Amino acid sequence: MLVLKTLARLGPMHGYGIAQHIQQTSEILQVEEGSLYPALQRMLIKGWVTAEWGQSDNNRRARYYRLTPLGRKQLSVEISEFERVMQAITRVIQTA
Amino acid sequence: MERFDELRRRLMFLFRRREFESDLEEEMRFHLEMKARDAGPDAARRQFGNATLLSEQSREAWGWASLDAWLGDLKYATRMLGKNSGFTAVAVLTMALGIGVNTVMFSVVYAVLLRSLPYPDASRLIRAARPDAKADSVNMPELAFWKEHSTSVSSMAGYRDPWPHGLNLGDRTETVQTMEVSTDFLRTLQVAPQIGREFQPEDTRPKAPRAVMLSDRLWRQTFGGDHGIAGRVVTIDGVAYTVVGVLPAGFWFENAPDALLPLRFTGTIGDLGSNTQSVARLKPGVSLARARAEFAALSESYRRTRPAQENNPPLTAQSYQEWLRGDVRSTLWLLFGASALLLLIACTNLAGLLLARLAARQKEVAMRMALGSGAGRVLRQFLTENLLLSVLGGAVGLAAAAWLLDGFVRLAPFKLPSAERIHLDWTVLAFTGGIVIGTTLLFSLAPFVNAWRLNVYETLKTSGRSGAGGRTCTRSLLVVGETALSVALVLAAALMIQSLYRLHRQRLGFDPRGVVTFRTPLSPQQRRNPAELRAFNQDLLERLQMLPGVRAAAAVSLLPLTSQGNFPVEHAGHPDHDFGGMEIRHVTPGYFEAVRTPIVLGRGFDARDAEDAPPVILVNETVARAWWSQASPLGDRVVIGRFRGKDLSSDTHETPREVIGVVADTKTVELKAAPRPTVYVPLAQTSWYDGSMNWVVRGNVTATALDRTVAAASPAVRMDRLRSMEEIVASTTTDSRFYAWLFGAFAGFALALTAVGVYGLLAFSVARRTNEIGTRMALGASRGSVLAMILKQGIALTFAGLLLGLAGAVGLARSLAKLLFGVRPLDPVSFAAVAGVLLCVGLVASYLPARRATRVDPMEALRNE
Repeated sequence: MLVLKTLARLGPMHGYGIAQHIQQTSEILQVEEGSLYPALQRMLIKGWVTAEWGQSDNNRRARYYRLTPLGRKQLSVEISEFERVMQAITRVIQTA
Repeated sequence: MERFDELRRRLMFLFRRREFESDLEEEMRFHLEMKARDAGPDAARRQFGNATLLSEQSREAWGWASLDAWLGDLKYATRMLGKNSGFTAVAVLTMALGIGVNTVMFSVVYAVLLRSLPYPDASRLIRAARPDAKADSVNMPELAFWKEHSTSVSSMAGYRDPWPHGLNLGDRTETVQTMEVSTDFLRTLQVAPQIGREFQPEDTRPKAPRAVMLSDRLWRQTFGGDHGIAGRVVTIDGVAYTVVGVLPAGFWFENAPDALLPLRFTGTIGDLGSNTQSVARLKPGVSLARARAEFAALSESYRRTRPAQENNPPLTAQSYQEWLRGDVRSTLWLLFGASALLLLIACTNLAGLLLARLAARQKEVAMRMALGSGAGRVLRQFLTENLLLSVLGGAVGLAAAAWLLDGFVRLAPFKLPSAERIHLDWTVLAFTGGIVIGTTLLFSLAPFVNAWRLNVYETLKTSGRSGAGGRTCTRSLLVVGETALSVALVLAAALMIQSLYRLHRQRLGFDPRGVVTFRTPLSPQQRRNPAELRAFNQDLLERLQMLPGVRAAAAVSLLPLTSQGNFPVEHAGHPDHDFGGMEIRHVTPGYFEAVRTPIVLGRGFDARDAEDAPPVILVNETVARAWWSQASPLGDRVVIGRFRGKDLSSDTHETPREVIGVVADTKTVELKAAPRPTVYVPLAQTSWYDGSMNWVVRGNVTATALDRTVAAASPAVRMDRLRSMEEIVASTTTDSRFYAWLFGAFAGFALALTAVGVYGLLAFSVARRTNEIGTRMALGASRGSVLAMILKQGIALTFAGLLLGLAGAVGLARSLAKLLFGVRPLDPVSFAAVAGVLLCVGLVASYLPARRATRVDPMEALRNE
């Protein structure tokens, strides 16, 4: 979800950029950056993102991932699912 | 749709995996470099995680990991099989043999027994039959009655056995098989002519213009596929016929006729003979059982309406398709069973070989398992190797099958009810694929069980070859089983070979060696002019007798072993002397000398028995025994054309003939059957006989010389059916020879496999027991006693298999009874022969390992420990 959201916000982005963005915005979420890549492969299979090679900011070849309409739909599904879970958790915490 | 897209992407990955992998690698490197620039190389690597593991996970995401692993297995399997090329060759050939033979048999079984006949709804076709009576066919009045009154069939038609006729084509004559069929024949089969129409009722009236339908083959080959052929007039045996239609391409019917003629009521005695087959189509929704009930009722009312006419047994309905297959069904299943047995033996043999190999590879397996490979993973590796063996064997077998199938179909002594050539098609390929997988599982079973029980620790602990090696108990069982299965095939072969031997020992009643035969079909003029025919026969006989190299020449109406007749003949004054119907042969003087059939009493025909001389006749021993028993028939009288006191042929004008001699019995129809009652009359005294003659020539003479002689006697006649008398005799034993060869080959393969099995097991056992044998010899055992010990082991195995096999073979032998001649299924000689052959094979197969055991050097064996 985080990857999809990042792509939705920033537009096409390479793997390093996605990892940087997630770390910078969340600050507390520490993940193995490399695990991003198996995740991206799975999204490629599902057809949520597409990938193509392009020029990075410092003029190097980098693979840019782009959100597809299918991926956008998946993002909204996941966000609403996440919100539902969050609401449930919030309710439990509040009543305590 | 999404799933499909996903699959498409996965497949894309599979085909462009190099690109994908380099992409991933470059992308990860990019990531690391960027990170290193921002945070330093160590931190970058720490935060990124295990790159190798991650890229592996990425690859697995595409879902081809198991394929990868399998490809690895396959590569390893190929290498392992390549390394043991001897083992691989034996295994692949064994499987190829089993699979090839089964593929051939299945192709035939499928084409003949499983595939429907080439008519729409072929299972709804029935026929009228008398299952219990000898004559299974109907007569014309019955056919007409059933056509009129049966309500359970939508249409019904009659047809007769095909008959060769000469199609006159200007300067040459082509022999075509014509079949007479009634109206509604094609309508019943639901087949439409590709040109013109089928026969109408007006075509079948006695005086109607003669009509003919051509087969697609005849139309294309002889008439060049002329689309305007309907209405054209063709000449058959000198008579004009109008072509009314052409049968569709791919049309097939029993005996594959070349042309159809309308079946006419002739208004003569022929209509009353049960000589017509019937085929009918059940109405939709009507069951065979209902048709049977109706046919029984119709038989009853038919008999009531025509009490005087006949006492034919009642008619019943049976499936046409089942009836057509009836003859070959049990034989084909039997052959299929035998080939399945062969495959089973091949599997057993291979299982034994694999067990031996597994024993040799135990160290490797234990090592792999110790290094963390699961038992399942190891077994998968073995299964891959075995599957590779089977697939290779299957491929070789399939290639062999494609090559063998044509020959098999050509040689097989049964008619195959199918229009198409029997060939390998997708169904057959699927069957072959099925047996490849099935056999792999089968022959992998025993090795699997053994591998499963492998104790890694124990195996690795023991060093040297002495301790290692699995128990040979499973292998012994396999060898015993294999031997038992072989016994069945060897017994079948023994019975077949003995049948063939008995057939060849049958007394023919004539000497076929050095005799050539040919036929002179009638020319159109001869057919119209009996005097000319007689002159031609006389002229040709004289010319043949004068040919250089000819010792004797004569003519006979029908050659022995070629046909069966059914002629009314009566012992004058004894209407109760009754064979039902007899053989009559018209011969020229000198026939018996030419074929060397002895005259056992009285004299043969000679020049005295001319046209105007007192009418004479010869009878064979069968007739003499039945009609005169001990008395002499000479001087007594016989009437031709008369049966139970009634004259049946009005056109022969026969008077009683005097019996002047008795001729030795000759085989009439086939070697298996007893000679039929036969009378011989001089051709000169039967002016009413207007058939073609067959000529027998004893001596050294070329086909060209014969051809020229016939042409010299009459330019309008061309001889045909030139063959030696020995060929005629051989053609009647085709089926027995075929079965003897086939089962002989099966038995040979089975014995070879059994020998390999016994040899393999003993060789292995000797190698394993080297130390033991060495010790025994060091302690004073003689070479002889060691030899005896190993031989005893081999013989014990063979003997156990033999006992088991003989017990099982009793049932099998009974099912062979139909194919046997002159030998009982439980023939003690055959059983003894089988036992002898198998024990010999066992002995020979044990001898080599036993001899190796005696060569064990005690010093060396013990030092090895």
